[in-house]
Amino acid sequence: MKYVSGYTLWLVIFFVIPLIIILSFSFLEKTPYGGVNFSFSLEGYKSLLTIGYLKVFWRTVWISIISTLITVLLALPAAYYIAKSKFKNLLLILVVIPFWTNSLIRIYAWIFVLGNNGIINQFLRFIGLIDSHIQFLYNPWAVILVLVYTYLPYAIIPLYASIERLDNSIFEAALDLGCSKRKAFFKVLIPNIKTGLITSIIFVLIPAMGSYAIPDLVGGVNSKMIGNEIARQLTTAKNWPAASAISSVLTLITLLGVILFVRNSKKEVLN
Amino acid sequence: MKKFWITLILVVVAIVVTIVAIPKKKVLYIYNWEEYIPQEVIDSFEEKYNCEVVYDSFASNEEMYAKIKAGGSGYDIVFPSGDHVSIMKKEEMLLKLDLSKIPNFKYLDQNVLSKTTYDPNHEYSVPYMLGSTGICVNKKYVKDYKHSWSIYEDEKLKGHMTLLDDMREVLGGALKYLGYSVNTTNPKEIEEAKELVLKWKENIVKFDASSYANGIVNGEYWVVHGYAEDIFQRVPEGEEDNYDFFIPEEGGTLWIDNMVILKDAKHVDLAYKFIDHILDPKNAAIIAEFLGLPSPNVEARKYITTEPIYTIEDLKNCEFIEDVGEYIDLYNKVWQEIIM
Amino acid sequence: MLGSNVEIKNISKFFGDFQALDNVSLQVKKGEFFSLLGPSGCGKTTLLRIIAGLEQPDSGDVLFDNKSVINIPANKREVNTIFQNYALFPHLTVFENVAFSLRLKKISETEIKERVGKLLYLVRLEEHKNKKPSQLSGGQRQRVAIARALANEPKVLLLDEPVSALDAKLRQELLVELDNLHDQVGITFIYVTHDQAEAISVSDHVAVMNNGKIVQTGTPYEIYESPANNFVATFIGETNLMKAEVRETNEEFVRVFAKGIGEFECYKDKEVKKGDKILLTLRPEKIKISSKPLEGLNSFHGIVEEEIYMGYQTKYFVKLDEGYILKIYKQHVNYLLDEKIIHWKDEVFVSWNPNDSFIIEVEEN
Repeated sequence: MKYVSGYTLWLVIFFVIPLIIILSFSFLEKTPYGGVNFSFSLEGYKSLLTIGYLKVFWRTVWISIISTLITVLLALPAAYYIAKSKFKNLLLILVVIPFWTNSLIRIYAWIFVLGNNGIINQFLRFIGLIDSHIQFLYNPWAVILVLVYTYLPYAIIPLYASIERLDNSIFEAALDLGCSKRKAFFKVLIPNIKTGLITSIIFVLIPAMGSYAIPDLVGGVNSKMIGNEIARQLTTAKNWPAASAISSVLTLITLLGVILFVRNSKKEVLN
Repeated sequence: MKKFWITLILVVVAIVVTIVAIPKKKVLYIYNWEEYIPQEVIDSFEEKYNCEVVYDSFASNEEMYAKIKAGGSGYDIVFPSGDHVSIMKKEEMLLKLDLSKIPNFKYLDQNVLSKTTYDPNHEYSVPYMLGSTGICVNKKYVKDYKHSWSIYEDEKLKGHMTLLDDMREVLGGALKYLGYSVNTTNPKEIEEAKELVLKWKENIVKFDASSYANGIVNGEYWVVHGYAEDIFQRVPEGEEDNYDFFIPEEGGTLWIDNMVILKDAKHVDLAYKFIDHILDPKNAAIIAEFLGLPSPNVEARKYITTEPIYTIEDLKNCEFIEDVGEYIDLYNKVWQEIIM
Repeated sequence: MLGSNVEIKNISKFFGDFQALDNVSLQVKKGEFFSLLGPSGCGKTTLLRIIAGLEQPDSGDVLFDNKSVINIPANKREVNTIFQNYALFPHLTVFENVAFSLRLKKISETEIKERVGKLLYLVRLEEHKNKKPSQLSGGQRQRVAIARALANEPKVLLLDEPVSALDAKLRQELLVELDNLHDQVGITFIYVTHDQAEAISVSDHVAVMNNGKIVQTGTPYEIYESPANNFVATFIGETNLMKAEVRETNEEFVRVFAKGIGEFECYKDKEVKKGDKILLTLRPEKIKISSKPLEGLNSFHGIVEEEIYMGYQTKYFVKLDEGYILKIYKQHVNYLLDEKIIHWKDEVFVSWNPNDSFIIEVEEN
């Protein structure tokens, strides 16, 4: 009970109250130099009704969904391999090690690898395959790549936990009963690690929707995501209600998505 | 386990005693652009007044402003550019200065002091440095170019150039190129500037205000729009000649960064002393040499031996970015159309 | 007969440096209940997994009905397994667990219903068909596992310690059920267990394994009554092992001397000569015990050191005059009406028939 109330308090202070502040700011009137007037206004939301915002929202959604799909697809075999490996503790440490390094540094590292003057381009020039360079970065696909790289551990760990818990003999039972390995994967593994799958999808999708630094650093002129736009509204544009309105809409979209997704998958699990 | 707890308690007690026993040094909290004051100037201040300086940095005026506006930042001295001095003044965030507490103020160049339209009587701000945003070219990769904004129209350089991720700077450059004022409030002119920037956008890699300096030095970018001092601090010694920093002939934006004391500053005395320390001619000379910029401190020029990247003379076609008040929405609107 | 005969030919299997199976060969007849019996780590489960196709041997062959299946993957072999922990699919209901293999075969829904219904009837689980495995008791899960394995109509059913996770009483019941089931479905059962009582009670033939080798194959009777060596003798049931030296031999019997016992006679089931050192086994229930002196060749005197009353029998540990401690199990036919009840510290006389001891090892002089 003590723990529950402590957790609730934590949630209220660091999650619910800030959310309420953001939500209320989104319905206030802006002042020219940031801040708000305490009078009701829908201007914050009205300013979102432009083609530009629609484009950025749509881009945020598709980049996040594709990154999540790729991440989970990569995490699944990795988690499976780790769970079945003799060296699982070592491998788990390897999965977690990137967290010891600041995430900005890890994003910058991609510029050194894939940049116009990065290792790969230098190598390709060296072996004479190209004259100038191939521009790998500064486009939405680079954002997806780095998102996948950054969030892969978040997807591996819950999947690992649910695969590890599974009794290996149920795969053997599936083979024994006539499943090919591929069928056993879909008919036995996937349904039994559903909670792990849901968790890892949520763990990747939510931070991906709110990405800021990754599109800022490896994205180009057409890869701004909604997180960048929130920051811009707050700083350059000094439009706090608009920033709050975007945040609220983003939170709403994410929340709705997660609720729908979890509910659907629960239904499937129950059936 | 018991042993562990006893050890832990002893350690905690030891730390607490140490903290209490040592006479507390005064701490001055500074919020400034990254790497904008050489460490030796800070060190000498700390020594002289037996205090500690905490130096936090920001990447843009907007970032700084949002943080201070949100309240409770705890900073004493901040270094905003002119337009933000004017905003912060209007928002009553600044302390009205008592110039008698800053005797070294007298060394500042009258020419510079006359340009501070955002605070004509220096009631709230003291100029720190001034300069222009310009374009830097890596001559290893680019041989043939003009000292003009038109470099962004050169398709041969497509995929190798960046513009600042800064609305006023980029639109200001475009406005200058078109022959307008960087502070125009004429929607038609701003619209024209937008069309021009959209054309430039075709050729740039990205709008980049955080990594362009590293980018041009490591060959990632060939042409960048930004601040000279940012770039030259990263250029390895002896390679300076490879980089050509220029103010476009059409002119550009001019900036003055200022020292201001926040209204809710807790260490006002120390803050005055710090400003005076910065204006000390010898220190001002160290700063100017460190940044490679012309010094606004007349007396300091006597101590400067190296050539600045550009002189105050080079800035003749440049114009200050001023707060345009409500008209900023015109800029916001077109900028949004550009970047989204 | 619906089952297959199964032949194992010279199978060897290593796990790293550890040799799990060492040149194992055996034959299982069509439709029989065959047990692989041995202590844990003897290789019996590995052998079962090789038959199932879940493990590949390093060398050797597996034949069903005289055709090699070694290159057929597990999912294509006409054999199904009941796993030790049942390995039921936690996400599926009882019905769907049983229907699993049928659904893979694209059988019509009506037929699936009918066949699964029959199987659930067979294992008496019709009313639980919509439950998840987690809602079932251990015995019920085991029966689901049986129904699921039989759904595919395998020719060989492999059972990996299927009752070991259950409590003693339930174990007995299910063993009888399995035996009945075997009679009903008529396919070949290969049953792995470490419990000799299970193996002996249900099997047609038993192969006793130790250290990756088969040490003895035979009917339960043969295995119990004439163990091939020391290991089998001690592993199957309980026994008295006696080290002795041959003193005299004739056509049928040998006269031996054992330290701690004295001189006695035993049946000459192995060729021995005077001076050979031998190891004898004598089952405890074969020994007579009485408070009165006993007639006969092998008769000794001693004191009861320990008395364990088991209900249907009493176990005595009798210290002979010369020091050897003999295990004796006395069946109670008419406990109270039998002769005087023997208790702890009583003086007793013991004797056994020379035909009841077996020479299991001979060390030639």
